[in-house]
Amino acid sequence: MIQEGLSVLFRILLLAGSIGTASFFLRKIRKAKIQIYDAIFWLIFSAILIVLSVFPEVLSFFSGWLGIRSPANFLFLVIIFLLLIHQFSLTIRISMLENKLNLLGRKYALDNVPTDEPE
Amino acid sequence: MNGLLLVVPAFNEEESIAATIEILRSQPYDFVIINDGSADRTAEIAKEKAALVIDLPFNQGLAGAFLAGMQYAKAKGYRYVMQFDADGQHLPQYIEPMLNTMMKTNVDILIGSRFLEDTMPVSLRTFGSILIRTMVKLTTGQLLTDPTSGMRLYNKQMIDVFANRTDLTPEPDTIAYLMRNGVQVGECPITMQDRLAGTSYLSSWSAAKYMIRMAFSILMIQFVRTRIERKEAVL
Repeated sequence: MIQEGLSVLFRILLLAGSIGTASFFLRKIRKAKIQIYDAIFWLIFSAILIVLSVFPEVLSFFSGWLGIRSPANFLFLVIIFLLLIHQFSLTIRISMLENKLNLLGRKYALDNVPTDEPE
Repeated sequence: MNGLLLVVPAFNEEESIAATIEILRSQPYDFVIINDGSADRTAEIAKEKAALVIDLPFNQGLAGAFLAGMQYAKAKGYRYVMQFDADGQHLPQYIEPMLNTMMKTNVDILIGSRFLEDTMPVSLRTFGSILIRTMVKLTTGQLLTDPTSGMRLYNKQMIDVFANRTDLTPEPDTIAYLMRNGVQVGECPITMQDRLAGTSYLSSWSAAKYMIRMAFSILMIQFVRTRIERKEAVL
C-alpha cells in the first residue's frame, strides 16, 4: 500500500493544486463576506487537501487499515460523502430560505391590502 | 357577508381577469384577487375594476398565492374559502350548490368534481388524472373522482390549518395527506368551461411533469410531513 508510484512531479502538482485551491477559497470567502460558519467547511476542506498532498501516506495508512485495496477509492469515498452531506444541508437551507422568503412576501402583500375594502 | 371568501389566484391573466371580476360581481360573495407577481397588467386591471387585490411582490406559484388568500380569510374571520380560477374555467353557478352541500354533509373540504356523474373519458389528457386518482385511492382508501379539480371549498378549520403552514398546497398531494390525517373530503358534481385566454399554470409539457411529481408526492408525502391534529366539532 505504499505510494512508490507517486512521482516527484506529480507530488509537486498536487501541492500546487491544493495550495491554489485553498488560496482561491480564501480570496473568494473574504471578498464575498460569507458567514464565518459557512466558510469553516471550505477552509477545513482545503486544509485537508493540502495535508494529503504533502503526506499522501496518510491516505494509504487509513485505506490499508480499513482493508480498502486502493487509497484512491478511500479518498473518493470520503470526499463524496463529505460533499453529499454538505449538499444535503444546502438543500435544506435553500428550502427553508424559500419558505421564509415566500412567507415574507405574503406578509408584505397582506400588510399592504387597502383598508377601504370595496363592497 | 355570508362567510364565504372566493380566492382568485391570478398570474398573468390580463386577458381574462376583467371578465372574471364581472362574473364574480354578479355573485353575492366576497372575493379577493391574489396577483401572483404578474408581469402583465393583471393587477392594474383588477384595481381599475375596484376589486380587492392582494399584490404579491414576486411570483410564488399557485401554492403561495392560495396561502396568501387563506391567511387573509383567517385574518378577516371568514368561515369558508373557495378557490376560484381567474381564467374562466370555474363557473359561478356551482358556488351556491357547493356551499349548500358542504353545510349539509359537514365535510372539511368539498371538491367540485367534473366526473362524479359523467365518467372520466380515457385519453392522454386524463391519463394523469387517472394516475393521481389511483394513488389517492391506494394511500387513503377513498376514491376522488376528480382530484385535480381546482374548484375546492374549505371550511374554517381548513382555513386555520392552511394559514398556519407553509408547506401545504391546493393540490391533490396535500388533499391526500390531509385525508390521511382524518380530514373529511367530499365531492359535489360540477362542470367546467375551457379557459378564456392565456396559458394555465399547467402548460402541456409541465402537465406531464406535474402529474409525475404529484404521483410521487402522494405516495411519499405522509412520510415527510408532520401530522396535524384534526379537532372535532367544526365551528
